[in-house]
Amino acid sequence: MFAVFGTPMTLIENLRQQQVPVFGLNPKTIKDVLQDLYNLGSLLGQEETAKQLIDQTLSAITTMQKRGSSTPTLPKVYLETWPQEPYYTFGPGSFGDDLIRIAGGENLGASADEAYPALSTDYILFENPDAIVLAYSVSGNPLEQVKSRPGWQTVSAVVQNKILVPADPNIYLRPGPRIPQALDELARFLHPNWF
Amino acid sequence: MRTFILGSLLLLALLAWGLFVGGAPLSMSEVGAAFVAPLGLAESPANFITIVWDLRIPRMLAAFCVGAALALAGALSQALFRNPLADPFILGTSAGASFGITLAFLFNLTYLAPGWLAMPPFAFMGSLVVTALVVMIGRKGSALPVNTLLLAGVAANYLFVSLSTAIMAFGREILNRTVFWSLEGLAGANWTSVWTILPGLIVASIIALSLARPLNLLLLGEESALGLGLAVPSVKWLIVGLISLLTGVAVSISGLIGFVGLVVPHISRMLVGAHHRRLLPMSFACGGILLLGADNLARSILPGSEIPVSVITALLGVPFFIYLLRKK
Repeated sequence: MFAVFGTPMTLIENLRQQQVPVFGLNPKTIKDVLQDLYNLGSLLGQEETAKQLIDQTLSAITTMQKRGSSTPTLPKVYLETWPQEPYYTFGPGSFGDDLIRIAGGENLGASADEAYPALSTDYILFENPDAIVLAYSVSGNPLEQVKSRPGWQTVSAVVQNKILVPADPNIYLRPGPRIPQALDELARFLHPNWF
Repeated sequence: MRTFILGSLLLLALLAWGLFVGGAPLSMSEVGAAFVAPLGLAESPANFITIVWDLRIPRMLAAFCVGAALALAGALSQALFRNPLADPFILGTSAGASFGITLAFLFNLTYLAPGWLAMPPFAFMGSLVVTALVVMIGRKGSALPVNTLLLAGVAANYLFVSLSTAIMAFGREILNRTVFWSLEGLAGANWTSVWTILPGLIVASIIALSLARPLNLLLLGEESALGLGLAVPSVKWLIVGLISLLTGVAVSISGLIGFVGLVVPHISRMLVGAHHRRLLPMSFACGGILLLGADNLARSILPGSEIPVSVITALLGVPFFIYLLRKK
């Protein structure tokens, strides 16, 4: 049995009392995800597959980091995870923070003091992000909704029309094996000249 | 006169304070420059001007207007029901307004009118229907006994809050929109919010002030008021309409904010007495100042974020409410 973040501890204890082996997963960063992939591989006897996946991810990360280190100014990226005041984003020590940094961006939430900080419009306008990623699903047109928010017309990302609506927001929200896809989409959006 | 000067100074101080609070760590000089920049007196980055002029200033005006509207609605409720515990919240008027807005979300009616007019008509209809219902349930013959009225109000409050919650179960989108609207409160305030509340607030305030004498007469009891030549039933329905309008426009931009309507008229009575010619303007001003102050506080407690202003008003209002209960 595998338990993830959110599984009640009492349930896990009950299962263990019934002699059911339970392995807990709660990855928060890219490093955690890779560690969990390795552990899962050895638990399930799939070391080879796990190693392949880890190597793929690591090589994607290395490639990105090389490009990033030769890019002089990195855009300030706001990865929005909740479309309403107070807005939410990724802070330091979070999956989204890792993704932005590796894909060649400066995370707007990096200076927060928690991993999933709440932000006011006031603060976001002050920080003035160069690029915005909308990682959630809403009905209607999320792009137009952002552009029509009162006051947001002065935000650099809105002026430059640098807003990404990902096909699958979950690859940014769920720390899982789809890291290369997220990095690829994000880097293509932030640095089209890398490709 | 001294109260007036002190009040004005307090208002100005709160308005000045509010320019500096918010998520963005703008310095004194940056706020100052952004404040005078539209007049061409200083240079300031466009986003700083937006923060000051399109977020903080309209937000303060909206907070003042909501406080003024709720306090005025409270003063009118207390006169109408001759009860110190009456306010739009307890009478179910606020719950009616939010039910009206939830219904409008459900049937996608908020796109019918331009931004500033999108929600008030539905909020107004909701509060009017619920308040009228409470009055009709609560009255016995021609009298309106206080205890049945308050019980009817409490029942209506529960009923319409539950109905709003039930509507949210109709689908994810209606749930999202309602939760967004109710959680956002004043945090989403902008110029559209100000234009949303201002017309209703101005109209209702003027009519309310012109009713100062009838309101004083109502305090003597309906029989005496009738004896003194007041057309009691029509005046009462007019007041119900005003309470609903004020509550409707306030709830439209701020969601549910409790205790302002209850507490402020009492503070105002302590300051200027029970005469409505002075009580109504005083409640208006005190309500505005109180909610402006509470909202500034709500914006400045957490760095980079804020707490809902209704939490602050409840923390201030509940002790006062208990004091009123004990005093009786």
